[in-house]
Amino acid sequence: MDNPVAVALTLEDFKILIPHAIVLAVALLTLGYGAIAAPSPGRNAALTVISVFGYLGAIVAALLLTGQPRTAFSGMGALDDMAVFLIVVIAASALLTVFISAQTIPAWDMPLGEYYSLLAFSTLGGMLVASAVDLVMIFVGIELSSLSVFVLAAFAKRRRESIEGALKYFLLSSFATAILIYGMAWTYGVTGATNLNDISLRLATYQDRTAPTLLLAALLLIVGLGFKAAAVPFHMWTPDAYQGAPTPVTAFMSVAPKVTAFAAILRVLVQGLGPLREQWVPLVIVLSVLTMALGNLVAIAQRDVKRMLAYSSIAHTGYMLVGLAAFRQIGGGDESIPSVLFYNFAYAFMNIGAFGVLAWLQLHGKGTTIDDFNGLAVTAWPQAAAMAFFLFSLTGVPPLLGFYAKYFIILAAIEAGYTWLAVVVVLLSAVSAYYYLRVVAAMYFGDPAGAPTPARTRFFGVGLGAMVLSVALFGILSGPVLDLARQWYLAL
Amino acid sequence: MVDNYAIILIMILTVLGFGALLLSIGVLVRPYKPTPRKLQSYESGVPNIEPLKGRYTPRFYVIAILFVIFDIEAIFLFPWAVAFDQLGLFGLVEMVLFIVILLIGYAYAWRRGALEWV
Repeated sequence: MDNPVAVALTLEDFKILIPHAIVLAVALLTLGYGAIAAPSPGRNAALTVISVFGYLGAIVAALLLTGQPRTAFSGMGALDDMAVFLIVVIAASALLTVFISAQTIPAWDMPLGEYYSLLAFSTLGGMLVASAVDLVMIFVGIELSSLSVFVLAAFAKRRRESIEGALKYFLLSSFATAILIYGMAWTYGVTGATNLNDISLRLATYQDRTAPTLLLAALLLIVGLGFKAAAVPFHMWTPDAYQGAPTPVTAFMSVAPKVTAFAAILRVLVQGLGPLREQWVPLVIVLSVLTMALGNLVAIAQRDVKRMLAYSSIAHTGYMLVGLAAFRQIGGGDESIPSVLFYNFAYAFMNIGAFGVLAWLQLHGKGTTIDDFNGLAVTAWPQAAAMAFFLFSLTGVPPLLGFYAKYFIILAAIEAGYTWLAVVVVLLSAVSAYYYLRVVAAMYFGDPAGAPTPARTRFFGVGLGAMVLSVALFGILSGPVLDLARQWYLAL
Repeated sequence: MVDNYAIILIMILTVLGFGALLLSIGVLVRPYKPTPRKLQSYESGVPNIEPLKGRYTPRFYVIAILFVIFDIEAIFLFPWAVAFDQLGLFGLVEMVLFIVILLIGYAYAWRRGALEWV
């Protein structure tokens, strides 16, 4: 008898899921152990240790699986080297978030077990997107990633702003999800495939690439993914959701869902809709200019550093979109996608670092306005130095990581013939220097307004130290990391 | 292609028309003598003790969510049980994994008191 449910699955297939399985184990262990054991400092330390080693394990497992691109599950997933790169970035951002959460979350009376579990589920969703080659898998991954983040954004459930921001995020994101899946449906309707490689092959044979149905599909996909990446004009939820969420959550949600969105954008637009490049690139250019301009200009007006960083994270989406706009074709000589990958990598360290110092400040009885940073260099010089370091990196001061990230984006834009776009990036980076350096000025030249109250912050030191080291070290090593990104992208 | 949609359209029209027809026959034929007792939400049942617009405790919500989760589990179990012979050991392992993950969630809900009705 013909076996109707026969699925050709081998043990090899499951090999690509090893990093995902480790993160899933972290999610289940933290959830279970957090519920069973009575709350105590020992339990919290154990939960943190589980998370830290889980993410480290996932990173190592992913790195060990490089160099042998394998598709599995009948083409649904693949652990190609680009997937490994993105998985490492997402898992690393979760790891860094654990360091800045370990003491803040219990100090603010939030349950640590659930927190780590949701963090791990969101990370898992992002990793699934990174290693998906099918529209359906990408959709499932994006949903897993964002559903967990909605809950995390509302984690300070007694604070009005937290609920408000989370609700806005949830509603707008659900709306975006509907648009995204509508775009996927149109893509499937036109091409008859959900597998991205199949879509790309079929699109390449089409004579008329400006058919309205195709344009509609591409438009809906870009709008849906633009929402998730917080690109202007789909950014409305960002400032409120970022400001309302507990600061460690904001650190995570400004990085991991954005990297997830860019993973989906790279997969869908580059790998799937690559043949439609001439149709979607103009749209991405418009989005990138709007995003950079609005993010940077509105950030100037912010007195609250948390809100300022929210707008700055919008601006960084714009820079990444510039790299995407420079895309010409998959293959040698194309510097655009490696530059986007590298920007995501760099952005994770410096942005979580900046939010980390903010969380440290809040843990020590301070607020998040710029006045709370006054004279921090006197009262807590290591944290002030770390903050200055991250802000200089976000501005793009050489030789820090952020400088190289911007440099590669600009280089890719110029090579693709968009010199004017590169000029826009440079001009708006100069604008961003104003609001980033204002915080540095407050820390070093402001009058100290009361010392921070002491609190136990063992993990904070480790996390902030690791991020400062990474920003400096990977800045110097940016060449090799970019080479890796390029080489891994070419293996696509 | 168009024929298929025509069939769907005809079906939609038939259903709407037939429903409207039955309802209007009912209105024309049935006697209408309302009494307060008949207008209660559960006629012949326990009398209402408070208006229906009152607030509900969120515990209903938690229970409803838990119910949906285990309902979905059952929905997954039925086709799996039917196709058990073809799926073999692989299917068994997959289903055990699925149920273990659900059980962890169940243990969590139990432990956090979601099943208690105070």
